[in-house]
Amino acid sequence: MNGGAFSLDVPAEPLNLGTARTFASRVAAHFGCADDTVLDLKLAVSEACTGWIAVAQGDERVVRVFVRPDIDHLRVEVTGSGSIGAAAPGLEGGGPTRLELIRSLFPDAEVGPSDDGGVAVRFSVPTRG
Amino acid sequence: MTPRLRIVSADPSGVRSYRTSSESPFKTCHPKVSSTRAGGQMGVSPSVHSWTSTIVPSAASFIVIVEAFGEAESSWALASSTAIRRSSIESTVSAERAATLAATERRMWTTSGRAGTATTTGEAGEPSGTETYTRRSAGPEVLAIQLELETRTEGDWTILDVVGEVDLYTAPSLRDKLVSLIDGGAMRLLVNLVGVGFMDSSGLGVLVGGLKRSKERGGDLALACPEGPPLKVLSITGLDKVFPVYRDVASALRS
Repeated sequence: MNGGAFSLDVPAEPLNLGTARTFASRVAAHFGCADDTVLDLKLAVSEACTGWIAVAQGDERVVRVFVRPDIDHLRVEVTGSGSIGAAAPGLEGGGPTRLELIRSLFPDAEVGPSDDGGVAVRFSVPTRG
Repeated sequence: MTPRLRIVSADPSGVRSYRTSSESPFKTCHPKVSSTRAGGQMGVSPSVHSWTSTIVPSAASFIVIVEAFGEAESSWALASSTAIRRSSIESTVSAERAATLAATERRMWTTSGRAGTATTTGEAGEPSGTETYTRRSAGPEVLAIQLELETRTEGDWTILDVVGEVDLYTAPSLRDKLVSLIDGGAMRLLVNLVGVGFMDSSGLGVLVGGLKRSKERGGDLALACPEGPPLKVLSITGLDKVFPVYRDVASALRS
C-alpha cells in the first residue's frame, strides 16, 4: 500500500465540486474501496465542500480534499472556511444538516480546526484491504 | 488560484507510475496511479519525495506544470509522446515558456532524476527543472459537470427528464426549470431522476422547494427514482417518505 497521501486544492466555487468528487472517488477506487463506499464518499465530499463553497461569496478561498491511506481505511479531510453545520437551502427546519448527512455515511465524521487556520471535516473510509 | 494536485511521498518500496489525462483541466487533476514500470510512463524515483502538478486553466488552453522534488537516481528513457514539443527550463529559472503540443487525449512522460529540484526532461538525457507545456483545449466548453433537462408530456403528466449530476453548481438550473413548469401550469409534475448519477442536499433542497410550490398551486410533484445515489440521499434524509417515489416513469404513469 502506497504510504503517500493525495491532496487536491480547488478554488471555492461551485464549478469545482465535480472535480473534488471525482478526485476523491478515483483515489478511493484505487485503494480498493467498494463501489457503494465510493458513492458514499462522493456524497460526503460534495456535502463538505458545499458547506465551504456556499459561503465563499466569490472571494479567494480554497477548498482542500486530502486523502491519506492507512492500513484498512482512508483518512479523508476536507478543509475550507465556513460552516457545514447548516442545512441545505430548502431543507431548513426539516432536514439534516450537511454534517449530519456526512455522519450518516461515515459515523466518525468530526469537525475541527485545520492546520492552516480553517475548518476541517475528517472521517474514515473503509477499504477492502 | 490554480488548482493544485500534490502527491506527497512516493512509494519507497518501488517505482510508481503516474499518468494524467489532459482532456480537460479538470481531468488533468486526476492522476491514474499504476504500479507498472513501463516505457513511456512517468517513473518516479523511489527517493522522490513529492510530485506536484499544477493546472493553470485559461480561456482556450491550460498549462500543466510538473515538478518533482527529492533526490534523484537513475534516469529513464524519454516517453514516446513525440507529439509534444515542450520547453525545458532550468531549475534555477522561475519563468515559464509555453509550448504548443498536438491535441492528444493522454500525455505520458518520464522523468529523470536530478538532485534537489525538478526532475522532468524535455529530450532524452536533457535535464530540466520545470517542464511546462500548453495544450489547446478543444473549444471554449469546459468539462464541468453538466445537467440536461428535457420536458415532455404523457397523458396529464408533465415529465421533466433530468440527466447528469445535481449539486450546488447545477441545482439552480433545475430550480429554475421547476419554477417555470409549475408556474406555467403543470399540475402533475414527474421529475425523472433515472438519468441522475449523483445528487446531494443541494438537489434535495430544490426538489423540496418544487414540491412546496406545486402544492401551493394545488398540484402534485412526484419522483421517478430507481435504486442509486439519488434514492440513497432521499432515504438518508427521510425525504423518500415525503415525495411520491416511483421506480421509473412507467410505474408513475400507471399509478
